[in-house]
Amino acid sequence: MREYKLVVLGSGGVGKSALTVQFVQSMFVDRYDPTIEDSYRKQVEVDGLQCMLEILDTAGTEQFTAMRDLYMKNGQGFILVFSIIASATFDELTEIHGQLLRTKDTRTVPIVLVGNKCDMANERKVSQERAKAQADKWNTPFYETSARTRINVDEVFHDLVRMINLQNPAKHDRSKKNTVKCVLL
Amino acid sequence: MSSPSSPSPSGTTARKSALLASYGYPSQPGMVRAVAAAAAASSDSTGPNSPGPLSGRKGSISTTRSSHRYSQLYSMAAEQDVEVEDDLARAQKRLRELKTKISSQSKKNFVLERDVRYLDSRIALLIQNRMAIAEAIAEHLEEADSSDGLFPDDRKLQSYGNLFFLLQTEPRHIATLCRLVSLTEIDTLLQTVMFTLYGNQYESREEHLLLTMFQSVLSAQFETATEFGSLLRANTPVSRMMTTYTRRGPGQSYLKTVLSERINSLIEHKELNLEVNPLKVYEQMINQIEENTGSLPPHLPRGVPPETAAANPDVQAIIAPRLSMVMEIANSFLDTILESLDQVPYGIRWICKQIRSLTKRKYPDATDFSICSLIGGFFFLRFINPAIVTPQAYMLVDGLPSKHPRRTLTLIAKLLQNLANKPSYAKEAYMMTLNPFVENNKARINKFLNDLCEVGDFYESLEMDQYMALSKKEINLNITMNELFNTHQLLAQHRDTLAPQEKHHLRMCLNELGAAPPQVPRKENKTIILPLFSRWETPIQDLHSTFLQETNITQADIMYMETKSILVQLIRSIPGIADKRPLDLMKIAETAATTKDAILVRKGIKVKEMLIELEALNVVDDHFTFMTEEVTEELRHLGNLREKVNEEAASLESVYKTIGDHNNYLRSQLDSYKAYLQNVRMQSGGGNSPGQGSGVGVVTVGGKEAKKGKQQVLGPFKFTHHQLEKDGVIAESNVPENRRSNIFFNITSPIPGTFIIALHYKGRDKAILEMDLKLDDLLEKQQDQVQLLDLEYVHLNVNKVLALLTKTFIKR
Repeated sequence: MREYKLVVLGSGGVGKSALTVQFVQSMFVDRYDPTIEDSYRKQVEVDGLQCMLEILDTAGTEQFTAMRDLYMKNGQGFILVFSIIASATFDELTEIHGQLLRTKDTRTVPIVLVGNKCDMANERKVSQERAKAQADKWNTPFYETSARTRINVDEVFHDLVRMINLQNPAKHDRSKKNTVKCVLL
Repeated sequence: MSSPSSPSPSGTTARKSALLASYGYPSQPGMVRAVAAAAAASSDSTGPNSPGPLSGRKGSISTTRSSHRYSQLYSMAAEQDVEVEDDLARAQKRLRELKTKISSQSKKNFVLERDVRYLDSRIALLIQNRMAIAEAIAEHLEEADSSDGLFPDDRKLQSYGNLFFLLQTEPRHIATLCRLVSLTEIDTLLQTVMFTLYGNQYESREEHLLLTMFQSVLSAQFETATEFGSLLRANTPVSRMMTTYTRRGPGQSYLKTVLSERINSLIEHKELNLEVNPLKVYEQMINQIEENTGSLPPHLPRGVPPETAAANPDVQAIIAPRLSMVMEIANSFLDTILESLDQVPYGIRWICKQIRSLTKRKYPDATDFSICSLIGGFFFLRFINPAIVTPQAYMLVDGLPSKHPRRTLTLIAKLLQNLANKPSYAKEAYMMTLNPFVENNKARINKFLNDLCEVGDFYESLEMDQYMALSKKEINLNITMNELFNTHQLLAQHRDTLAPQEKHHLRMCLNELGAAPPQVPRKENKTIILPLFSRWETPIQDLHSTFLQETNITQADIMYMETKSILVQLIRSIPGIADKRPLDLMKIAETAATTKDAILVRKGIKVKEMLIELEALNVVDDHFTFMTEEVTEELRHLGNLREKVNEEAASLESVYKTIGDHNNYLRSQLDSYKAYLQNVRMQSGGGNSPGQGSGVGVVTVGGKEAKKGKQQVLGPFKFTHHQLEKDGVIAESNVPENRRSNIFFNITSPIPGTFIIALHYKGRDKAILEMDLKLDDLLEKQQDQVQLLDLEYVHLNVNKVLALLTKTFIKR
């Protein structure tokens, strides 16, 4: 069974944990409890194939950004979450997205853009059009989700798995170019 | 923050005059400004000054607020006595210099960090292929001109001086502005506010004004919060402010004293694996079995669900001892933190206090439990735990800790956070096994979080600080042109919110200044000295007379106070003179009058005359009882002070060193980014977009294979062993000393971004050893904190190699 390392990134309080826990344990965590680093595992079937997802739920608190680099190095697919009721959380993803591309050193990192809390659309601050435009620019799919009412939760994770499959049908490691040629004295 | 201990009640009257004595009678124009500054600050945040009447002299006790203030002033004035040259004075001088250096170095680091973030984002854009290279590398790489500049227009400079005077003395303007600007604008504004406007991190007046600004921003956040759960959660200007604040000198030195020893002793044990997540333990276990036996037994399949892993008896056996060990370590961290209550910087405790009182006001029904979790949300989540999880980013350790200790540190931070938040539900099931830690420490942590809030307000001392500001000859800001223009621009943009009325001082200043000039190029961004003053305050002509008017001090009072102050000076200047107790004041005066030092002689004679006169006036009794008491008390205070000053200086030395190290680290990071960008420029043939779809480091041009003919081999450039050793490029060498002079290195760059380092021995044609290096890989090594490059005979320092390559190949 193939393993997928997924990482959930985004600003503080946007619902990264709520989304992840809803996906993995099918329940909504109402009380806010800031995450430092949590990991989950879940087996799912995507397009007829069994997949083992290892999901890393990260800290949104900005003071922990020094950990991001490692997450980005180790992850294969990324869920970038913002809250549709707080536009600063949307703006903050630009920085995260940039860092992601730089760390991966490529333009084609499997990423899904997620606007969470869509059950609170009456307080919406980020329009669908705006988010969609950003997603197009980044060339990523975009979903509006609700961790509370379990809207589009599975779709996000499944879509990310498909993107990884598409981009990377077989695993291969980046070859290192440091070669030492030794000439005998 | 120096808040002198309360002196004996009898010191009250006397203490006033020391201020006069040691400040002298001012006539400089700068003093007028400072007084105006003090007055304005006072009227803004503490209401008008109305010191109560003074209740006489000769040890009679005055309990009014003002007398307390003056008594403190006396001590502070004596503490800052510039005429004396004893140990205390020298220690204080050293401390002052250190503080200045730390303040200015922190600012430099902040700027460097911002530059690193900037280049980081440029590189990301490049990779996205959305930006012309030339644009990316533009001016930002040029060094800023560090020389002091002169502001061209004198009248404008005055207007700016007035504007910044208002900003400094009335923190509410900046507080409002902080709420109005966006996250992208906040960095620049915070730089100006925290490192320039209130840049003196160790001066309590500026610290207090900064905190006042904090309070205002914080309460606005409470006003706008929609639900309790979302309070202080998001990354906002407030949280960015908190980060910046906690990383200033005092916060930094707290983390270092309290945490760094624990963390360092933990990360020494590189192989200590304390993973307690059954899934991970199971995985590590079957990997080990597979490695040992070559295959997996059928009862241990891969990819099992968490429950299966947790039920495995072998896994349980591995985890059990680890659980108690993790909890033991977490306990030791907790003990250290709880014991550190008194060391927590005042400002951080004060912020905790504000969080508590704002919560109680806005949510009267909030339980103590939920209030504590909010305080914990600041103190642990934003201050302590980031430093535990990523100690390298807080300069508590050298380099990234290795994998196992890193995980242990994360577990400890998670435990502490759980303790502070006490969630009802464990998202990760295995965390429940660590629950005894939370249960056992619940009561302790709640008490600690509440105790954190138990600090006094500073309004009283703020008022006093304004008088301390008098000691400054003048208030100047060292500010860059761009800081000036940027702040101007933001103020102008939000003018209608900040100062809606035409008559408002801030608005008048802004109207006068007109539109903000655009940002100047980096190399023209000079630092200027901006004198602050206010045209709206009535200048105070004579500090002396003001004090007389304000406080009804009589001439006799003044003489009493002066006498005492001179006596303290004499005792401090003549070693051994005060060894005998009780003090004989008259004898001290006589001794001073017979020394060989002309100044001491003059003072001795003068003070003797004054003592006699005071006696004649019946201000003192024959034995100078009260004055002797007061002088003794003052000396004791100053003695304790010297110890405190020395202690503080020692701890600041280490902070300064840490900040310096961080500065070097940032510089090297910046250099490598520059190299990376330059590399891109070379590869793209200057000005074209980089290769589509390819990583930046890959040597293709415009998606096609680069034409070999066009490429120019650069080098070889020759370096001797000695030279590279001297520059630190060679970190270790295995070449015997006597052979080193025969060794040299040739570095060539056959294609941009690729380098060949060849090690030669004099007289031989062929290189002894060659190594191909890709700039990318070097940068990656640097990112991974790999320090050394193994060249068999020599080990090269990765950072230094990068710098050498940049210098040799790119700047040509």
